[in-house]
Amino acid sequence: MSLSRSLAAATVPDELHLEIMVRLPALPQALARASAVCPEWRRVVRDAAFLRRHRELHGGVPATAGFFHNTVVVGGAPGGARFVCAGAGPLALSVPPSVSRQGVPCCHTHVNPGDAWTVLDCRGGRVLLGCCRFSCYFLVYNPITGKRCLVKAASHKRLHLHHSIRCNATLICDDDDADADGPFRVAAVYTTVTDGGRLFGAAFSSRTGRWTTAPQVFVDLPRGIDLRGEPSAVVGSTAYHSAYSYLVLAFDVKHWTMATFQRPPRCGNARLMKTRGDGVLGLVGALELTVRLWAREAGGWVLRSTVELSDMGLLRDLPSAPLPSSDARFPLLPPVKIIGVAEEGDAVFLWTMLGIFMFCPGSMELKKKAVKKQQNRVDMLQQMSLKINDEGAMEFLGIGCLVIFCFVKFEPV
Amino acid sequence: MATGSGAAAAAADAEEKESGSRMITLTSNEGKAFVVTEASARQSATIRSMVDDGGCVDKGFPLPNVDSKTLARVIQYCDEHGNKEAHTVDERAALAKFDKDFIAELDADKAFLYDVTMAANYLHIQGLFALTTQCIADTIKGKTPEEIRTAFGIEYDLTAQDEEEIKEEDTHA
Repeated sequence: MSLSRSLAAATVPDELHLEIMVRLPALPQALARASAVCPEWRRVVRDAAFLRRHRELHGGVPATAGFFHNTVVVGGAPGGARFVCAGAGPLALSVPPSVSRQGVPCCHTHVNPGDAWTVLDCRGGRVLLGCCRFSCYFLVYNPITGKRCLVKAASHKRLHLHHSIRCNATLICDDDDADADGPFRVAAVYTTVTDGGRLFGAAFSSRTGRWTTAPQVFVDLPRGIDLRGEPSAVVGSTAYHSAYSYLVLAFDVKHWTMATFQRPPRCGNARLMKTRGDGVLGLVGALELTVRLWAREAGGWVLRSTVELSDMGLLRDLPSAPLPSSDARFPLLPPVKIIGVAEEGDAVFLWTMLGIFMFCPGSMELKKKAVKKQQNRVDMLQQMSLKINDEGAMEFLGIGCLVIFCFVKFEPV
Repeated sequence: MATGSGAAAAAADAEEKESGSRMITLTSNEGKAFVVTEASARQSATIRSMVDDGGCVDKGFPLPNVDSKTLARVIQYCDEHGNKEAHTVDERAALAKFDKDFIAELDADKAFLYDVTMAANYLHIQGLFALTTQCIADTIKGKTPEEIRTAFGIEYDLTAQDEEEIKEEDTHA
């Protein structure tokens, strides 16, 4: 008895506590509980070195707290950002209330002043939200600490984000190892009413509290080609966005350059990401039942790996499964759809008719994340919702909004 | 050059083999002596470095932080991992089974499990340390903070400041 007591009390060095905690499963809930045990444990679990080791010991997969996704307004029901927790437990995150309820002076052109925030990006434990379709305000929000930073959109001579037709924004954390409330930048690319398909860039720095715009820096997208509303990828000071017509847009906020280049040929439905290890721009694509991983090297795409999903035990039955097109709810979906990528490409989330799977390119592991549930109401097809059942597994109820932003960096409660 | 280094390596190998058959005495804090093979003792990085530094192999190693009961159990692990080969699939499976039974037995007596963990840490026996810490982690992963406190014998009195902090975070959550 006295021995177990001595392990917990002051005689036990921090080192040993850390060794036990570092072997806790990569679930934020487990770490959150540990951090609530006592101030000493709390300090250990908050330590950046601890979180790094924990991640390394668990195959490099960061503790995924859950997912943010944007709901689609169905029949007048409020849409906006929702957070879905990836497991049962005390980690309850929420998105902040809408702009008007916060009493924030919003723009006059706001179509629906009560609009909820929309998730634009998640990185380094923080979420970037936009106040409306035009993103007059950005909000950088840490769901764990509740810290929020409101950023008014840029207005610089004739370049007004207010008047943008389309705006994609990226959260760039200045220092990866810094705490999740450290300095950040918001990089926005947008088209304006007056300049057609011309894309401009603007960058906000929390250090200066100011936006920088450069009207002479722009790229012209082909006529009728728009940015995709998908999460962007960040490598160094460059934000990469997907655009239609198989284009990738690169916006470097440090050197103020903008450029476009093509995706790899025949990559299928794809997501941009930062590659694990060497940290270059990567692209994961799913075509039929094959998932491929490319990396951008010396101005070209290099195929790094090819995975036949039907070779993976869990998806052995995928070739014989019914096609999404046979289901009235999923008329346009491919057999394998990439719905999310963890921020450093550690995990790729795949939607199939057999459920949602998490694929880890590093370990080549495949895990089932969800089970598909029959949904009779066809009007649900515009809405995707993920529900947590008792085991902490997600139940997949419907599909429509396929953009999932992963909130992956764990900062304990 | 290549032949020379090859010969040197072979000599080192031979020495290694010979040294592997040496016996080493470990003494618990109660003064009880345990004689083990060098291969077994080398599972401990602490002892390994002392031996390699030309330490006092003949005089044996006193371990003032480890009692006899704990040391006997630690040696049981080291014997299994140090004296047996683990090259074939079967050999590795046998070793894995040993580990499983070993930890299951330890798990039944938590205080002893912690003692063995402390000894494994002190002696730097990597495999044993990973085994015991993982076992402890597995027992607390599903527990509430209060249950963890009980299991670890942690007495934690919330200070007013802590309570304030927790409350504040609760309202954010």
